[in-house]
Amino acid sequence: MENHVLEIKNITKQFAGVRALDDVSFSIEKGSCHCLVGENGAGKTTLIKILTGAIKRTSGTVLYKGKEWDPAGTREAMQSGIGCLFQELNVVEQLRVEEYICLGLEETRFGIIRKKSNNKAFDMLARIDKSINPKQMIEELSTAKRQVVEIAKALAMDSDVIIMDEPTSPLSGEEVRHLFEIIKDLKNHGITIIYITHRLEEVMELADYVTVLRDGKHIATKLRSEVKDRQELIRMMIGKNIFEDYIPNKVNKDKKLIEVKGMTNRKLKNITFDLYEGEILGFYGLIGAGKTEIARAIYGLDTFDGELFIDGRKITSGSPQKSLRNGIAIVPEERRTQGICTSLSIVVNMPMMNYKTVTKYGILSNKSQRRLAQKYIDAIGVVCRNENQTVAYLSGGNQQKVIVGKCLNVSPKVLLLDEPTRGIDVGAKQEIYNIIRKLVKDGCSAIIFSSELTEICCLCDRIGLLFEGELKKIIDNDETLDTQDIMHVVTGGSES
Amino acid sequence: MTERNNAARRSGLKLSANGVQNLVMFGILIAIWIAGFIMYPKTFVTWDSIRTILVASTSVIITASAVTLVLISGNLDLSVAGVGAMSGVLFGLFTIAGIPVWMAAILAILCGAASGFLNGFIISRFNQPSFIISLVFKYFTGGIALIASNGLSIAAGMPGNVKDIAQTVFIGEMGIPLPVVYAIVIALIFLFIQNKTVFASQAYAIGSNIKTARFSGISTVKVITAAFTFSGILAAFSGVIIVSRFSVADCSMLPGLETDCIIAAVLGGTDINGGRGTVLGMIIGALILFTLTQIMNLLGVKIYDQQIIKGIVLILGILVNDTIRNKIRV
Repeated sequence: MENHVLEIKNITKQFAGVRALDDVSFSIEKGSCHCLVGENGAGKTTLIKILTGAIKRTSGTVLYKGKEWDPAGTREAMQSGIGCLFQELNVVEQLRVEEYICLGLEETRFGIIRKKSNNKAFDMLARIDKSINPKQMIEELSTAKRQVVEIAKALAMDSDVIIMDEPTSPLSGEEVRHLFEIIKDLKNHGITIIYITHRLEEVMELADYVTVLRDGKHIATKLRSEVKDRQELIRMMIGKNIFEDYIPNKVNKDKKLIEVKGMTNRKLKNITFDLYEGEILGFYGLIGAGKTEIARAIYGLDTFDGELFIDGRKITSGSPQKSLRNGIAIVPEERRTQGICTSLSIVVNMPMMNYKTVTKYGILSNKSQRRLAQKYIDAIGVVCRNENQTVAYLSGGNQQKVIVGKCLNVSPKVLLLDEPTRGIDVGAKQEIYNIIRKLVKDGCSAIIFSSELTEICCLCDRIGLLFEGELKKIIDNDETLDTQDIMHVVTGGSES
Repeated sequence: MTERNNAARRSGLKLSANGVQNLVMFGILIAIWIAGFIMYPKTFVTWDSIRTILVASTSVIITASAVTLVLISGNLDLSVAGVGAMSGVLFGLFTIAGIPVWMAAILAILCGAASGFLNGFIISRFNQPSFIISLVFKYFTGGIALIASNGLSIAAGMPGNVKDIAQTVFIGEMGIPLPVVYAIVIALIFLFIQNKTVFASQAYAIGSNIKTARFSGISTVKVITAAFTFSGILAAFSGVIIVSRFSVADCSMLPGLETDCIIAAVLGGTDINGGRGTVLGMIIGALILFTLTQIMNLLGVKIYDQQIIKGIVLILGILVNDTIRNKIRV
């Protein structure tokens, strides 16, 4: 088939004990936008890494422009025309835009860069975004602009396939629009886009074709026009229907677990609220509104003026140690850098917040460590080889579950969850919601800090709205809830 | 979901990443021993030969037992040679001053502990890089050794029973030098500490990711200071043993101990960036290093050439470890 730029045939990738891809076959049409969707751990990233030569496949073939394709590395892939924007942009910060774009493709004479030869790269940059000055330093650019620079670099290398892995997750609404325009423009120039995302709205808008992967298997490749709605995609992705509505929790309004009065520090202005027993309290606000700062202050990581009462007792100088002793545990904002030790196994990660459950007379017991890990692996549903697997090789959702397990080991009275489902696919999200619900049912209370309104609305009994470090309003999650109103408040609108 | 997990858990390798690493390095050690046996069937596997290897590796095994924990916590301790020299010299001077030998040894070791404590406290309390601070302590303690000994070797006036600490005890026909016994006991103690204490478990957490450790309520100051204090104690003990063995205290004894310790640990699978490694691996690493030396001595390889061969072995060892760590992905 001539208009197929990439043909993937029976690709299998085996990691130690795990089959990341299992006999996957589909084709990608030239000049189309081909969306790849699936839960975390479905094999999307593995597939991309095989296409770009970052890892080797175990078996199967790939045809690129009709020829057998087996690049030795990402560099060869880029030079042959398959460029990739990775989730975390690998941009060297201390360079100028022009230097960065030319990096690796300079035409040189006796090792000296010829200035003129790079004009093509600048033409590309100017074509897609005129607002970027080639003389600017990369570090001055926003994430969105850096992406544009990456795209320009890929174009300068005459790429005819550009792979984008979750490009919109760090972008604002306006920037997303701009990126979509660029993608449409690229398509018109006959460039093929392979687009990976968790945001299904984007798939519905952008895609010409959609390929769904699940547990390393190819589920379907469909024309966009054949897909009825998001629900259909979700059903294919997880094989079950997942939407559940908010269920009110049994709140004991007589008992305050946490009382915050006039909490003020560099980022926070006079925050006052109470958390009742058995309640899920949500904090919603845009990035920089002060959500993480409240969590850090309660947990004792940051100092503040004002008063904090836990279970009626005043806390004077807090620290994580004291908070844990008082029954407050946290699922931090940054999963990989704050929540888990990636180079250690699940067994070692699990008891980290409270070693009392795995020691006897002050000595660690291997048996109880193993039991503890197995208990939470089962209770929470962590998909892993076994409890000795290194956490780095779990998918994001499963890493997050390990962190929740860590917190449960403290038998917390209050669980702080800071962006509990960031970068996690729909299925794992729902599982984490269910874990939180079950936890609260069993007598724990929770505070959720999130920038996803749907998440807050489907879990929380009351919602605190934050704007620039101020708590604007606390509203009950009932029929009167108006999302328009919420958006109005958190974007700084005056109270009606 | 649970069913799926149980099925997944039954299959698959049961070892952790450290376990795989130790197994591989142990295999290499056995291979070297077999090679030595094939080359020298009569002389290599005799008690004399084994004893030579063991005695030669005592300083490294004793000191590196603690240094491995320091490395696991994500820090380097470059001060151990200095601390060893300081404590050795002080031990010599104490005995000359008439303090009973065992008392002198304890005092000297306490000096080492104090140095290690300060070293670790400054690093962890003020968030300073251990490379620099421990290097400063190397000069600091080395300086004390120089001042105390006036830069000279101290032998005159040392009582004869200084040798008692490092004497050879006999079990029937077999003479076992006490330093080897110490090394075995200390290695066992630290194997226990590494495997069975909350302290070591927290050291792994800190070495793997200090932010996560803080979020998990682990006191980084306590753990890191304790690791360095252990390292100071054992470095001091190594110094005392050397003085006892040779009845001479010299401010330049234990040359290169800090690097030897790190090399043995790294060869045994310890990650120089922290979070990975085992005391058992370090012991295997040290034995590989000193077995090779022994074979090369038997082969008559010149001491200069030995350095190069050791370097090559080290690089190969590091590459094997790296492959296990990053390619096999346990």
